Amino acid sequence: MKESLDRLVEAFLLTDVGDLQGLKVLRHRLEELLPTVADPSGVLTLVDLGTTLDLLISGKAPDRDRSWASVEKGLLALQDSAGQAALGAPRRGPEPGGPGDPAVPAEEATAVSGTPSPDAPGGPVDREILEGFVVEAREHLDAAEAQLLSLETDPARVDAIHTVFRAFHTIKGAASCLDLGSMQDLSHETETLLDSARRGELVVAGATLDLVFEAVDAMKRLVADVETQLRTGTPGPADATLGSLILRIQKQATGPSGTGAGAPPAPPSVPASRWGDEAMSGDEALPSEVPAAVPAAEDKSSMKESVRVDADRLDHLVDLIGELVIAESMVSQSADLRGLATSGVLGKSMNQLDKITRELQEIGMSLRMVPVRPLFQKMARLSRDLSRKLAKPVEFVTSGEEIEIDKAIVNSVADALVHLLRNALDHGLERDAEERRRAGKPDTGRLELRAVHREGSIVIEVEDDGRGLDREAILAKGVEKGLVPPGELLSDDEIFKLIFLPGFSTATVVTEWSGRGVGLDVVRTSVEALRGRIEVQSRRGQGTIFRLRLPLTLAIIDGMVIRAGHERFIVPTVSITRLVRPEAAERGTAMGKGELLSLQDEVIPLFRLKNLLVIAGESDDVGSEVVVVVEDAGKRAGLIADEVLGQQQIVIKSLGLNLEGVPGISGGVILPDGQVGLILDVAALLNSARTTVEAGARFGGPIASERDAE
Amino acid sequence: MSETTVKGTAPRAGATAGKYLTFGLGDEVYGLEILKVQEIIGLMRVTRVPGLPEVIRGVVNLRGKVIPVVDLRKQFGMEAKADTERTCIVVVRVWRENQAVTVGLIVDDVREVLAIVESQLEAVPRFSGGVETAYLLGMAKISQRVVMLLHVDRILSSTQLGALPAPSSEKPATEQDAR
Repeated sequence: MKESLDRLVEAFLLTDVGDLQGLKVLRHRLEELLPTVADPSGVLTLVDLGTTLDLLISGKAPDRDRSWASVEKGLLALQDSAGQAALGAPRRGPEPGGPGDPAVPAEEATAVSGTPSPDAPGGPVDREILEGFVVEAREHLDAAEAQLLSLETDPARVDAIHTVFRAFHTIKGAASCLDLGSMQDLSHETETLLDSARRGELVVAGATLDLVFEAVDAMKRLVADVETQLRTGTPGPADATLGSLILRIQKQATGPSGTGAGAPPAPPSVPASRWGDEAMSGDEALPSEVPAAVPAAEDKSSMKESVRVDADRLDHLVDLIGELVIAESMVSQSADLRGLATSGVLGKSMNQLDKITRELQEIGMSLRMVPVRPLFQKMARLSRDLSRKLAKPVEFVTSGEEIEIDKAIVNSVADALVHLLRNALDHGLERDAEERRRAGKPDTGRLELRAVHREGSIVIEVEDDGRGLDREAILAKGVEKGLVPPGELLSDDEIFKLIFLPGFSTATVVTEWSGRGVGLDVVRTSVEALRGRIEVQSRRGQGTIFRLRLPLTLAIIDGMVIRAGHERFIVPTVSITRLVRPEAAERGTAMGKGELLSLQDEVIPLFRLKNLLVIAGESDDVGSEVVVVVEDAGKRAGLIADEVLGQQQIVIKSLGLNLEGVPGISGGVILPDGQVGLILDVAALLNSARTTVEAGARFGGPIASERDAE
Repeated sequence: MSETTVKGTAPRAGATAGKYLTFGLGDEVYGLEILKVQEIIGLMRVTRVPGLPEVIRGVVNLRGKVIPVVDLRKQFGMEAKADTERTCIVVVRVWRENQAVTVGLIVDDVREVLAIVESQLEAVPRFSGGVETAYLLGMAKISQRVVMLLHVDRILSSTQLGALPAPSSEKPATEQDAR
């Protein structure tokens, strides 16, 4: 056996994934090896290898690089299990990365050279592989879940089944290589079940679909266990339900198809029959895979190649691009070139340069953007589970999955969406089909999750076709809580806004309304933390729409550049309500100190930025001052600046160290001339201004004196 | 880049032989381990950040990255001096609370890179008048001149920058408080 395996590994190392002849040789070596292998897991691995190779040879492998990687993993497992760890690996170790296949991840290459030292399990190499495995397995499971959801509406989608199958198949290969027993068992059984589905012997719907969903969940837990173990070094408690789940999957796999011809028998004998079916008879057995191997167009897009990049490096790149833009504009606007650049070659080249820099800037910004698809898929899964639990059949529709959003936003908006969906399902939709029928609606409720681009931001909407908000109940509650004076006339909008107020717990409200709005203030806070906004729109008896308006990215904001003394600051546009150049008559003071401004409908306090931030520089003429009216937590105030320089999109920079802790300043900005400007944190600024009359005392006294001395 | 030279906040017997970048502050000459120096840039306009300790003059744009700059004269309690043509910023990369951070140091002028050998090294003597010897790694005597070798990690550690106001803290600590 050792020799055959040796030759097999050698053949592998000499073969490239695109080399048909080489693949056939490899296949041949595999067959040679088969009779010499005694242990069942080895046979199993060989069978898998054979299947994968067949797919590769026939050109039907949906993802060649991945398949090829799994071949390598399989071979590694063989080497291990055959106790041939010392099998000349050092000699071959470095090769896979070279002539082999560029797609073979580096960690796997190291694994080859790592095998000769079986004495050192759990070493750094193992750790790396495991970490990689966790990430990869999660991706596969997410993909599988997405396809399962699509199967729910259309059980005939063979390509979806194939994707799910492939996910479990790949995980099995890796798990066996990494000696993750329960994962291997679970994936093997699920794979068997899915295999019969692939052959059309089983329809993945109803109970079977639920079972596969369960398998995905269980697998996710197992993956999480691996991760925990990596982090803490101690294995988590064993999953007690796993055994029964595997049994149920086995039963499902053998049950319905037991009578059919060519049914996959119990696991131990599976290898033999599969080997016979697919490998020996070659092409003949493959037809069942033909539809599966041709992925649907949309599937292809989700398999786009991607590279995992260290976030710091990405930031660095984006920083440099920003600098390039500044340098470019400095060159193109430099006085030396003026006149020269208007005509001729230089002018053309400058235009070209300008175009390229802008494009670079756009790409730089888009690097951290990801489609909302995975997020929506998670929500689809959630609503599926919830609708089962609440016994409210619901049709879940998503649109705009391809819209991209900053990854950081995706992570934080997920919780808000979960909350809104749960609300919609639990309280938004009618209690039961009976109630819906009475309202003249179809039995099945409808939930829609949409993403659209709108005016430079992203709008995510959660819409249900349920009861709608109960205006009267909310108003009554608002009055009871003292949030609304009794007898006040409010528009629907104003009333609906109440549900986002903290403390607007509806636990005691009329049953029909009960629960709705609980925790919506939390949702609002989290959305606002992302510099977004939440709105609600509702029609009694027709449904409710929650609308989240989010910035495309957290890295960029719209800001107003203002000048105070010699310093320039940026006020985020979202917190500005208006800009005014007040007439003397509109201004006044309170107790000789506090400046006031009367706007049409209210009187707001004014704060001098120069005092708040202790800025040096002689005061400009009072008449030229501009008041930036800002709003925070419903309260307005005016910031007095010397000049408004204009509005622009701004890339937020960290100030380094922990200078972000400076009250009133939320970050830095590189201004168009290359200098650093500071972003004002309006909320913090107003807070400190309100609590200290002599605000100047608050901010670094010594600096003030130093500046005065200058 | 976590060399042993970068770590080790425990008091050391003295500096080690090696290359040092020297710079001047008034009449005094200081040395920085060359491995910590990232680059030297001319003085540019510094954006002051309200509420920071006095020793931090503000922040500058280092090729798209915003870094804080420390006024070394202030840090050492020396009298302030107007910036000149020769004033520049030495950008160093140091370890602070287990994190590598990039900081600029404003110095009067940059001199040269010296290869200092073991025999030139001397221990830090006790000074009178409250000189902060913790900032010194050691001293080197090179043909009559004395070069003070800086323990740069300490300069930027808890004594000064660590006293920055925390986001939640109500009272921003002033520089005086920090001492």
